[in-house]
Amino acid sequence: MNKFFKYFKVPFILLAILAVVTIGIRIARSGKPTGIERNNTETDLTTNVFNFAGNLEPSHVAALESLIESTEEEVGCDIAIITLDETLEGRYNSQPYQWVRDYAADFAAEHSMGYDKPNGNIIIFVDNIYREPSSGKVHSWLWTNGLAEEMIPTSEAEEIMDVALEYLTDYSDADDFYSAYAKVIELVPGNMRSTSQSMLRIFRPSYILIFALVVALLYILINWTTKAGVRTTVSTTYVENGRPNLTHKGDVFLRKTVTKRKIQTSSSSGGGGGGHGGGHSR
Amino acid sequence: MFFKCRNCGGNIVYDPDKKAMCCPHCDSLDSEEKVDSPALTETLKVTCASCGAPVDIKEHTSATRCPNCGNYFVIDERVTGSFKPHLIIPFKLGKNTAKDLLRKEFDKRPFTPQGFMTNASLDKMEGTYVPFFMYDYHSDMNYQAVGTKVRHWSDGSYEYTETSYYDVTRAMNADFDKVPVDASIAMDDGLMDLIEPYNYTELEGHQDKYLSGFLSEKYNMGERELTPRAEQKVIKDSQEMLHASVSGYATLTEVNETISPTKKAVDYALLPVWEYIYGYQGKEYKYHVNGQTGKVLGETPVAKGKVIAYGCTVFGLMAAFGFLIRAILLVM
Repeated sequence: MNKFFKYFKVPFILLAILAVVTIGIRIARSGKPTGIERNNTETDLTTNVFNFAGNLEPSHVAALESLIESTEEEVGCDIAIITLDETLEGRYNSQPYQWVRDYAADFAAEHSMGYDKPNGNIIIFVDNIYREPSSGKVHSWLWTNGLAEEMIPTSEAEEIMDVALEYLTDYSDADDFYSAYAKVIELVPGNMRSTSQSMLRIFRPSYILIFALVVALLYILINWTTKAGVRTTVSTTYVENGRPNLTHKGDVFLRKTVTKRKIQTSSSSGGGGGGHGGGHSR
Repeated sequence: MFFKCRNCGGNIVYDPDKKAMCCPHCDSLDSEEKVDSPALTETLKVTCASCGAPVDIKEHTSATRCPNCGNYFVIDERVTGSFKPHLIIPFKLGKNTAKDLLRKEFDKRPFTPQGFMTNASLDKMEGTYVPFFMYDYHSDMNYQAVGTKVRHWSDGSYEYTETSYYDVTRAMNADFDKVPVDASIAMDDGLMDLIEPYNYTELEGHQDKYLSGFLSEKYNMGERELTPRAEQKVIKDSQEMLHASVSGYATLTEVNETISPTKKAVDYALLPVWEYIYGYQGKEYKYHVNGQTGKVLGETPVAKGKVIAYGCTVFGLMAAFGFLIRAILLVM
């Protein structure tokens, strides 16, 4: 028994220290909120999905509302989805692909959006399915503000859009708009989590148990050694003077062959605009 | 023969720590007097030269301990004539050093049973001189292969691969000095190969006195019978040296390889090994310590109860660490 405790002395001590640290931290933080609190009382919005284009079924709107509600709490941001089917030409002095961005900014300001405060943490996804005559394209934008702007850089916003808008092919009724919009909301938390929140995904109870099991099995495997010993002689151990006599060494060139292969190049696609979040045009 | 103390009449043994013949009874050094033993009978019995008790001798034993009085003696017929060893490396490490080495190697292993490597069990450890034949060989080696060297480059549009072919030839020879092959049936060949190397600078001409205090065997097989094993070792080493002499090629396709070993001389030698046998659940586990260099060999028995206990503890510790970290992250 003594040998057992002696053997595990260091991990037992480390565990005890960690337990004390954990209890200390929990006591110190008891009563304090763990997430970002909703403090904005000025906003007049009571819903999160604005289906102006009418391209979403009522059941889909309800499902997206529910998804947004839980995500807002998780990431501490006001989130809105706005669908449009109208031209924005003449309303903004920017490039056509940036009109949706400016629309989102106006919408946020008009409704005093912000999870923590007016003009605070906001994420708005605008999808205008109207093909603008001036550009010949439909434009979307993931607009971010406050904490979201810090946590979701333009490149990340464009990546989210690229993945989500895979569900849309020609912006017809056959497209799965719900899945595309839901995907945007699902992908947002991945970029918004703090380090500790991200690590919590790793430290799930099931993962901890699987990891502990793997480590225990590896430990058993490593210590269940049956190797009697290792060879400590080398090929020259018994050779006089420690090395052989090399009497001939020939490395004669015979011939050579040359093959060539065409280098394949991949075409690259351009990215969307700057500012808050990222845009997408098709 | 029996080495008797001129001062007290006790059994003098070779003490590796003092590097001298020592009387464990009166602590006299080099006070030995050689007493001839009665001849070995056809029924493999010998009368102990110390106490006169009849002792059964195994087929190859050349030195042993009397089970009656505990004194060590040497069987004259097994160390003379054709059985006389040419060379010997006397024990350099004493029993206590060998015990410490075994403990150091195996005591830290977690799954060994209770009582493994305790002083009481390690006291049964015996020092044994193992018979070896040592072969001198001359080896001629030739090698031919087609080697390739590969170079890559590109000019922007195309990637080029140039493969150059070479005729690779090597010729070399080596003189092998005293390649050891154990001549004991009782000793596992693989383990005796692993217990090498011995430091040959300490090889000396055989003296019977070094056997007193230890067990010993005469060779169980003749040198001709063991020649194929020696040759095999020489060929393997020659091959390794030959291949090591070729480098810098991406691939080598062997065309021809010849290794011609020629035996030049053979010596019969006794080399020191400490042997500890531990019985666990009906199985014998053997441990060997090179009596000169201290190299340790052996497989440890596994106590299943300990595997479960230690494995579960590691699992519990890892899970506890994980859940404690999770508990911290939850409040951050």
